[in-house]
Amino acid sequence: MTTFVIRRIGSLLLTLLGGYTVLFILFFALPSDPAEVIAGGNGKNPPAAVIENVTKKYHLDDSIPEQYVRRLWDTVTLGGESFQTHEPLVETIKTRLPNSLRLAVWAMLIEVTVGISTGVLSARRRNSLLDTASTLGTAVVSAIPVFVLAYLLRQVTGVYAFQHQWPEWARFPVLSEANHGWYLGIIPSLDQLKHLVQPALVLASVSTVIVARLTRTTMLEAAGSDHVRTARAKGLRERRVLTRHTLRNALIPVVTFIGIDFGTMVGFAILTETVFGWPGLGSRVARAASQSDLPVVLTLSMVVMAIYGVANLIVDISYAKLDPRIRLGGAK
Amino acid sequence: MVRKRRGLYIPALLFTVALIAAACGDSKESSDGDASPGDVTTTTAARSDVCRTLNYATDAPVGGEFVDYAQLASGGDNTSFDPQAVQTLDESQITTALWDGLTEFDYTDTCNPVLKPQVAEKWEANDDATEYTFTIRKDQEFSNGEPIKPSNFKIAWERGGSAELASSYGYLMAYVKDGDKLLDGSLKTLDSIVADDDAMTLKVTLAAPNADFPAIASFPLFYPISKADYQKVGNTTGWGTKGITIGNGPYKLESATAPDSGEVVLVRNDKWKGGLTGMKRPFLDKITFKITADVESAYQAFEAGDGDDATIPSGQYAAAAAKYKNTLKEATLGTYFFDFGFDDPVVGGDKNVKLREAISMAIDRDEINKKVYEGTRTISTGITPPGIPGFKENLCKYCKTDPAEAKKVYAEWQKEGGKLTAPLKLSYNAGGSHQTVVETMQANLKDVLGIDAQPNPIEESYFKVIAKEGACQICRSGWYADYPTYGNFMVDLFGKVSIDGNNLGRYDDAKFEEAIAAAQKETDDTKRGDLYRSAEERLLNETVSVIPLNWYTGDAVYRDNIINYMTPPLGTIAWEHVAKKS
Amino acid sequence: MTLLEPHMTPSADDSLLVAGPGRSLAQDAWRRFKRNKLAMFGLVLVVFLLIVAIVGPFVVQDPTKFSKTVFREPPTRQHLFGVDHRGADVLANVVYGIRLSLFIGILATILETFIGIFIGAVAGWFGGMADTLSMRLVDIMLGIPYIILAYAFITVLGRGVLAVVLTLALTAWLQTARTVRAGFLQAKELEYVEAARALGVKSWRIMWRHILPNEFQPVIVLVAVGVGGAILAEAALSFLGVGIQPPAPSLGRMIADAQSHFASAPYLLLFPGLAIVVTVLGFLLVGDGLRDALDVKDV
Repeated sequence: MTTFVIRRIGSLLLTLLGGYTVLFILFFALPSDPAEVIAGGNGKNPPAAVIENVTKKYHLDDSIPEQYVRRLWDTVTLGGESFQTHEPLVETIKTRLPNSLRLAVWAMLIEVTVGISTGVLSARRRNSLLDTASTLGTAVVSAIPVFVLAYLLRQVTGVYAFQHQWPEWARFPVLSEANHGWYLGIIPSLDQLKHLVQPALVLASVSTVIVARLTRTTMLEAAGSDHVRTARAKGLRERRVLTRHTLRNALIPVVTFIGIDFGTMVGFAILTETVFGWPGLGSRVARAASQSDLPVVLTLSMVVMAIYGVANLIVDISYAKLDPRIRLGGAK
Repeated sequence: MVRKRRGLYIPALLFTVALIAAACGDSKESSDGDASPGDVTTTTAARSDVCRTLNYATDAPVGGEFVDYAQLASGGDNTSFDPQAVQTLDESQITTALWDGLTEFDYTDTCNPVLKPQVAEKWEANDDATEYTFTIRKDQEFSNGEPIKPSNFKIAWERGGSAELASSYGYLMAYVKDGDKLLDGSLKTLDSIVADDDAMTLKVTLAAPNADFPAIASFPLFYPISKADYQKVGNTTGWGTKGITIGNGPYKLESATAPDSGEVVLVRNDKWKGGLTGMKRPFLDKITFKITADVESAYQAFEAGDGDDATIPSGQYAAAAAKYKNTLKEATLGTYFFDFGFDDPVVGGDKNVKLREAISMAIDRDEINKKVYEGTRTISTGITPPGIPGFKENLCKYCKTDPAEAKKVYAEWQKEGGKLTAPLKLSYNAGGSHQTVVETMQANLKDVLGIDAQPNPIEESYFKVIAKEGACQICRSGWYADYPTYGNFMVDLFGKVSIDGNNLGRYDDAKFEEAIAAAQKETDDTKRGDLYRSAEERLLNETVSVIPLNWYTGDAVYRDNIINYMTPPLGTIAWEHVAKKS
Repeated sequence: MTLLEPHMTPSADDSLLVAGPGRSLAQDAWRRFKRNKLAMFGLVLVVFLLIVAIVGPFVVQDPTKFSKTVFREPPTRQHLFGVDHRGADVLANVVYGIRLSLFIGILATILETFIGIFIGAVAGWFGGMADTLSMRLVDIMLGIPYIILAYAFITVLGRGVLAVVLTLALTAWLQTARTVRAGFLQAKELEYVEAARALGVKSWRIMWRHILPNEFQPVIVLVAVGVGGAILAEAALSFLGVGIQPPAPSLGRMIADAQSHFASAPYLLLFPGLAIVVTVLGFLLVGDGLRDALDVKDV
């Protein structure tokens, strides 16, 4: 077990280094001059002397390998600051990472409850109207671009609701505010809840669809398996068969997916965070990419990749523990 | 100054104050499309709108919190509201609430802005406008209780021009003698600025005669800074408390979150001694500037009942005007135009004057105003907008839309041997409403002259990219005055000194240069206006190097219970007057 | 992560869909597909959209023709989807937008599939360094937020239609490569492959003629789903302002432009929005149907 874990951690570190290298290369190939970004801010033409000052200050005239190492060090130590806003990255991460985590946790709750229950229902009534409707419904949801969904949601529950004087509980704020009103860091106050509902729903939408379908498939498979048939033949009540035998087996891949997906949601919620203005890592990194704000892109991407990697690691380890068929210790 | 809008950057440039609208999806509107379609070409929707009297109610209720969704609606682009570093109109809304300058303009009559002393008591110039002595009022203090002395200006100005700070507006210090040496880092302090804290005088020697210097000194770069604050921040800057924040204006900073989300909160500054319109105390207790991702979502929030003001996104002017109080009819000192590349082999040079005339006259300014701005802007008859001292209407001969004349001139140009072999490149900063403007121009050129043109959107750093040599063939530009002087339009947009900066077309004409140099030296206001106007006529009618399209108006909506919310010509709201009925 | 790979049932039949008509597996699959109402609905949508894309441009108005007087007009008989803020016919723009989306989605998916098959096959068959390196690359690229990756590629490659296609392809081959690799790993152990090897048949030939056809089932499913995904991704990039540049008619950009007009002209957003949903939905349903019909396990 220990060997397995160590190997996985080593492999994760290698992946992170690779990710850093890919991004470093791609962004250094970009047709943008970091010195101009630093000196310039929004589109002005700094005098040559200023560019020179900046180039020296940030060591931009060093060789590429030197810069690679220096920026890597900054990334690992979370040092460095934004070219654009000069905000230290540690602070950016401190304020934004919790917001990303909060959004992901709540989206995951939606994913789990709605996704699994829809999947179970569909599977139990296979080919019923409900099954077809949920299959079609899930397909439609995954076909709607996130930005359209988000816009329409806000327009209806925000603007339309306000202008037509819907009751207070049915109205939702248009803009996100994630910076206040959390208990224990994760439980939203009533006011905060209203800000959270829409981005969490939108973020959860696609994952929920996948969970629903995955649950349905694995349920159907498990229901057809020998031991479930045996259980039924022994006269166990249907509910007991469902909960004790079918679900338990069916849920392993589902839980696996959810675990990995959580890692994804923390950092990959770029579109959702951007359209709702949710102050998490995703919206920040997207903005930085469009501004060629290298330190922000590199450091935040690495944080996100690390979280994704760790989520994967935990899933793999716990899966290995749960399922004795998987041998640990590095067997193929 | 530049106005930010979602994804679009505007150049900043010149003097500060004004650039607002240019950049982005700006616009304005009025409910009833008041630019009368009939005579588009000439002018003007309503001169009365242009010249307004800003009558602020003095008996408004005191207290309350104002929540703003209009100013910081492009969150990711925020960089600083530090007076020496601020570069966009939006961020300078905070700066001007936090500070008062040496001098300030009184816009009570918007077409006759009067420059008045504010922190200064008076100023004197020598005969050739190269040396100014400002006397500072004695009883002034910063919000932290520190007294305001002439040396507070000196350190601020030297900081503003310093190489380390690398401020966008640092070039303004080049007006001061040896200021260019600050910029290149060879000097740290200037002997040409003498601060006498006992006599309370600040004496400045300029690099060249400039009769507009007291006006230029109203710009944020020249605001005083507290020594305590300077010790903490030095020649670096950043958002919020990473920059200079202690001011002497009607409000003081209470808190600021990160630049791209959250809010900036100002509260009343009880140490403020009053403004030039006689205000002694601001009405509001508190102003909260909400930072949002883009204009569209900020406006959506306003529509959903949040906040007290917001900027109207393009496409909703008429709808917004029908529902809310707004500033759509309030003309501002902004101008929207396209430059021709001065040295461009296809459209530039003396031999292509007729081609340029034809292009300018083929463009349907009324169509653009209606489609893009829902008829809310004023079709321009020159670059410099009404409201600038020295302005005259109908300066431009080729700004009228006249397809017949355009065809005729174009035929003449062809007869003289002119020929287009490739589509013309219409460059603009991608996004927002500019695309529609360019697409309309493209269609006009095709319909009227049979000329092919190609939109050339530039996604990032537009103003940097397009200012480079050879980049601009026909390129979009826009400008909001930094301070209401004719020179702010002529020198900053077309002067040789602004090449590589806001002079996007790299206009470089000897006669024009002569005229602006003469104007800068002239201390008589009327004569100075005449000289600048002759420069503009050279630009518009002889070298035909620019296609003026329209002048900006305000573009904000606000709630019915808000009082004194007006857009002065420079676009910076007089926050001390704004009040809220509960 | 490996747990999530579609795991496939290697079939003894050595030439599935590729080897021509009349084979029972393909027929079986089609029979199963036909019985699936949703899948057939998806197929109808896809066929309909292809017809729209091919025939549409001959029927609708010129999408770049701007009226000087009629703009921002709700649907009328002349303009079934209304007129946009520029004075252009919305229907025409939607039709051209669908055409471009399909072109981009299909081309990017074809490219992506080739890349994925090639890398997956090499990794699975040869193993060793080739396997380690390419799977490491897949891990790395999957770990980088998609939009950032796409943004980096698109900035390097440019903003033309082909550059966007290339970007989508270069960021989308990962799943295909993993799937194909897994298939090859299993197939390598099968008897007939071992037999072929023993007979001295060249590696490339075994891979190409014997294993690949068997791996086609999951790949076909991935292709159908991939087209939908590519169309969505293109729309997202255009929405963020880094996709296809005007004047090319992108549905994503039409939606982005329409947002600010929504309150007064909702049809500017609804029609292009519906067009994207219908297009993506069609491909997703077909993909699902194929998955069931070919008995490929779900991801």
